[in-house]
Amino acid sequence: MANGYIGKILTIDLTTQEVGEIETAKYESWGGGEGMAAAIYWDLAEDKTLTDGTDPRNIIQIMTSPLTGTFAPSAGGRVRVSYVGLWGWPVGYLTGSLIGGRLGSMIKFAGWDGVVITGKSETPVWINVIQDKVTFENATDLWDLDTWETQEFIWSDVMERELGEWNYLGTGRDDGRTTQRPAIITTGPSAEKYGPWSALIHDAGQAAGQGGSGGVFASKNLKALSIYGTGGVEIADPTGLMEARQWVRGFSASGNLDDLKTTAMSVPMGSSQGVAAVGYPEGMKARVHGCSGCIRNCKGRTERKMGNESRCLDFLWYSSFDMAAHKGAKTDAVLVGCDQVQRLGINSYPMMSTVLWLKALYENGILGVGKQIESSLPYDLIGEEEFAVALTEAIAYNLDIGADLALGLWQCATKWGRLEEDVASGWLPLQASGYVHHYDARHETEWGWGNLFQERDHNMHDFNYFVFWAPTIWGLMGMEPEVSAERMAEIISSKMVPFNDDPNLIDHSDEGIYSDSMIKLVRWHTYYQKYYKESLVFCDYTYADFINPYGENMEGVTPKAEEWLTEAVTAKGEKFEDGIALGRKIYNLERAIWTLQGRHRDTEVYGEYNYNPSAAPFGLATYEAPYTVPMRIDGEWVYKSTNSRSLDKVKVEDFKTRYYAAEGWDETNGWPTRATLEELGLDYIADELESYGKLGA
Amino acid sequence: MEVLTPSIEQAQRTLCDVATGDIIVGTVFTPRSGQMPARMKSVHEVSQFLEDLTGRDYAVVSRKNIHHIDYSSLVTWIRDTVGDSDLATVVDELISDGRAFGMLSGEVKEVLSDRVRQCERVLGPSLTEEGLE
Repeated sequence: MANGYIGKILTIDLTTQEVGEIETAKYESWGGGEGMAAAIYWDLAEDKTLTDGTDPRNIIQIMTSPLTGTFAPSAGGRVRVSYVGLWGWPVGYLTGSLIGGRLGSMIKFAGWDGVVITGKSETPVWINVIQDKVTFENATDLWDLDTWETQEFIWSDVMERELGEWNYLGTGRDDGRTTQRPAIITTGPSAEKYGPWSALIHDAGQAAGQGGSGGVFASKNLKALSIYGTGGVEIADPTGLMEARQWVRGFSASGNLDDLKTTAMSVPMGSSQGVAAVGYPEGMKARVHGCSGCIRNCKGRTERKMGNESRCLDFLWYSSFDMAAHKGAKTDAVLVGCDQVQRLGINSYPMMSTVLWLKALYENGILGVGKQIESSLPYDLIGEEEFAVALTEAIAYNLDIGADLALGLWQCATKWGRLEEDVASGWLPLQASGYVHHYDARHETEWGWGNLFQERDHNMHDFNYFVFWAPTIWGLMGMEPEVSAERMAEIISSKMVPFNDDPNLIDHSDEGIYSDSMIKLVRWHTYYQKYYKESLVFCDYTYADFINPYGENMEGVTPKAEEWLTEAVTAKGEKFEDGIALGRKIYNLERAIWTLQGRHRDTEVYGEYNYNPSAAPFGLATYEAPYTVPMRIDGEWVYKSTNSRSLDKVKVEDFKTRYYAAEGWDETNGWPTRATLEELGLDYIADELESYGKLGA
Repeated sequence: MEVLTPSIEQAQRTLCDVATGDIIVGTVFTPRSGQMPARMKSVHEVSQFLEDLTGRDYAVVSRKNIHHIDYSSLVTWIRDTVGDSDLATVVDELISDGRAFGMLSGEVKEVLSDRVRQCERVLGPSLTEEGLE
């Protein structure tokens, strides 16, 4: 039956250069993406306790979902890359990263639901997949090329003709032809030198960033994977999918160009196209660009070919320094910084914190020429193009302090003997699991809890837009809130099946952040993330859409959109709550793997700065910016800033105990119990945990 | 309220860069993307950092950043670090009516910019060209 799946997953053993297939049907019950990858990892991993991502036994999986390659809006162009990572603290956990662009759809068009890569090649190779044919190509001459040079080389190698001309992928008339280029995912130059930082880049700026995916590729002597296909994706109900797409589009700015809402509540579905433009210098022209099948098209391609397909932290990591150095103006320095991380394949996410940390060390006489930490990088040129180039090249080529930084931030701070002091002060804001502060756990606590109980910065903005950005903008600008705090709580809670009988889920008051309601929110968020975002690969920039200016009574498309779009593709009769339940199952499977890797209650700790109200989360910043969130005080819902709030260690530990209990895990160590795993149909996992002596009591 | 014309010494102090350890830090909010610190070492830089925008500028079509600085900290910094109590008093009075940050941003920017121009006039081109760092 047509259900969005192609039916087979490509397996590639780099050690033997053998190619095979897995029947997708065996893993369909896990959805796709992260869920499917975790299930396959459980079955294929030679050693589930493995924590060294550079070990040849590590497994890289690039998994699509049934929605990938379809017109499911803000889902059709996405794919998830999974692997044992290189960045996490205290060890590398099974982790992964989502990536957009054309990669996922091209995998499907080539006739695969995913690619599973095992082993290690003896010599540098890149993998060339054209339809169902796989070849191993010599990558010796490509090894030191950057990500753009590598792709240019492979495009010219694979394509018969120029972009836009017909390319024939076989010899027969009906073997398939396309005007597209192959979709390539590649590391930067000699990525083994900066593995924890190394991202896989696709096209100009699509990245699987967190966890050192590029370093894992490099550890296998794998430079790149190129996929080229001309097939299609058969789905259950094409008409239904287009109806659902058009319905969803009606909630987006692109579907309402004649009636753009002038609202701060333009989150997330409702926000406009070309959001990346916020990163460009004033007046720079660009056209909007998006991933396959998207209705939002949040990225851009610019008139000067700088900053193409980048957005968010790709720009932000350097823009404040650029503006500080240039009287508040953004200059080409921000674009140079942006393109440097894309070309070198450096994860942009920790870059801003890194510059702030180095700046703090430099300005306090700890780092520099003749200082305790010897370095001759041009710190007096922070904000200029020269420093952006110098720092990124130092990391990528192990120059100056780059060899230390390349180890990863917590590893570098440990080597320099500064970990404890700088995390406590906030100069180096490692929030949890060795990942730098993204949003502040002291205020937007649901973000922090999500990070604490998972293996990386979860980077899920489902609540962030609503509970922080909109109220903060309203407050800063003196705008009348478009929805009251009470109405926001009502709308969001009503959509959070099966916890929708609790009206206090988004209470971010001093008590609310430790409440049983918050435990429910964190659980729902994780389940939603695990299934809808990371397994069915609904885009984080669009979903969940709780509140929307184009919706009746301001209600967004969640959960109707997720359920409708999935059903149109798969026709499994799956309800939204079924997906949430499956998210819980995926989470427990991953929790079991992390447990085998050494995860324990004692390793789920916040960086010390979170307990210090005066600690600056970003280097030398004072901490007076408002952080306005909804909360319930004396029975009344209000929006209120929580700045200067810190976490209470005793209450955090109590929250952990109650959270583990709510998940059905052992409260003393956070390990899954047999009862919980059996309830989820994961008896075989309980057996294996027990054999390792790691089954929760 | 107008700021009194400064003396030459006062004008020099007001236009000077403060020491590295005495900078004032604002925040650039990039809606729906992130926050970044913005570090400023002079009244002039603060005046350039602040923007005269309205709530409408943060709507769906404009995608503007918000350049935020805590006004109470700014007043303290101008008075105690920069050493311009007259300017601090004017800014303090301006912000005392409790309006939201964004509704005051343009006015605070204007006061700071006026003060910078006033100081530059007092010093004249030869003195400002010498550099005040």
